[in-house]
Amino acid sequence: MFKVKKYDGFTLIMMGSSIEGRVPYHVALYHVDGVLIDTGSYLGRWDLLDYAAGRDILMAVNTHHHLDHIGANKLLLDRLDRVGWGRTNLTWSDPQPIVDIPSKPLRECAGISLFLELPKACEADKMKRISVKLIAVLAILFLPSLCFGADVGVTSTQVMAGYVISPVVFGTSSRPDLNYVMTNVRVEWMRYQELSDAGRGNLFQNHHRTQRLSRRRHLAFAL
Amino acid sequence: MRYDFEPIGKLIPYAQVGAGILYTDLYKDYSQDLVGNEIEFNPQASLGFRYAIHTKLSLDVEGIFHHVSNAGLEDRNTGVNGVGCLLGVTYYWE
Repeated sequence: MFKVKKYDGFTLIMMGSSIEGRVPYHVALYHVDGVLIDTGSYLGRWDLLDYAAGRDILMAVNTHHHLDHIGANKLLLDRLDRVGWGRTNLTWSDPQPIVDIPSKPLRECAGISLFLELPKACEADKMKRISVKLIAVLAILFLPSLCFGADVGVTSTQVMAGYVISPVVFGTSSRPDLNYVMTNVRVEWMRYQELSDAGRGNLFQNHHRTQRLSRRRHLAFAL
Repeated sequence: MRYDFEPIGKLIPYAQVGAGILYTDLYKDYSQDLVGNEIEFNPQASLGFRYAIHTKLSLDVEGIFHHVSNAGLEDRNTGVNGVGCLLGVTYYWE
């Protein structure tokens, strides 16, 4: 059984198999504005291909993957493409939600999500405030390097280890039993101003030259 | 960011401030409310000196104060204030 009924704005296609002259069950397909909604059962695939001939079918969409809704997918793909009916573009895609569920404004979290993954804390306002704080801290740290006008640079690596205690004298936040070992590995870039006359040298040579010349400024940035 | 003061012989005193982030699993201990998040911010300040034992090598001693908190990312955010003493070496690559 293959019946087509035209309605205002769409076409209903009823597809079913007859058993002893009766059609106990049929599946409904819809053709709306070039979109075919479901492709029916496998047994009715040739009927659907005949229906599609010469009609403007741009896309087929499956409501779900049951066999009586996807039966002609492959045939339509193969035949329509092979016979070159031009604009045919049958696609299969994951079902999409009908209701547009608003998502959290992740864009607002970009400032901190660059190095943190904190989905449970991904609240736009909070992240925005933290992003502003981070930018301010980074600016305070690195702006001096732009203003310093260094002439000579030295790179060094520092390895340190020590013991940290959290004494009560620093307020209620500290606990006497919260003591721990701290280790640091720092890569450091030092910039010396107005040492170009003295030429390049290592840290101590530069220091000694600096001392001989006059008071100079030294700044170092460490990671 | 570190500022080196004028050297005193082979001794170079310095002062530095910095900020960073750290990972900790202390947040899993729900008996405390100091640290509530795995990622915490870590501003710090320290005073120290380096003693040159070679033209490219120094021994370093540093006293550090640092604060650990999460800027309100979690409700548990009392924070930690700690003071410590660090010993180390620095190699200058040139």
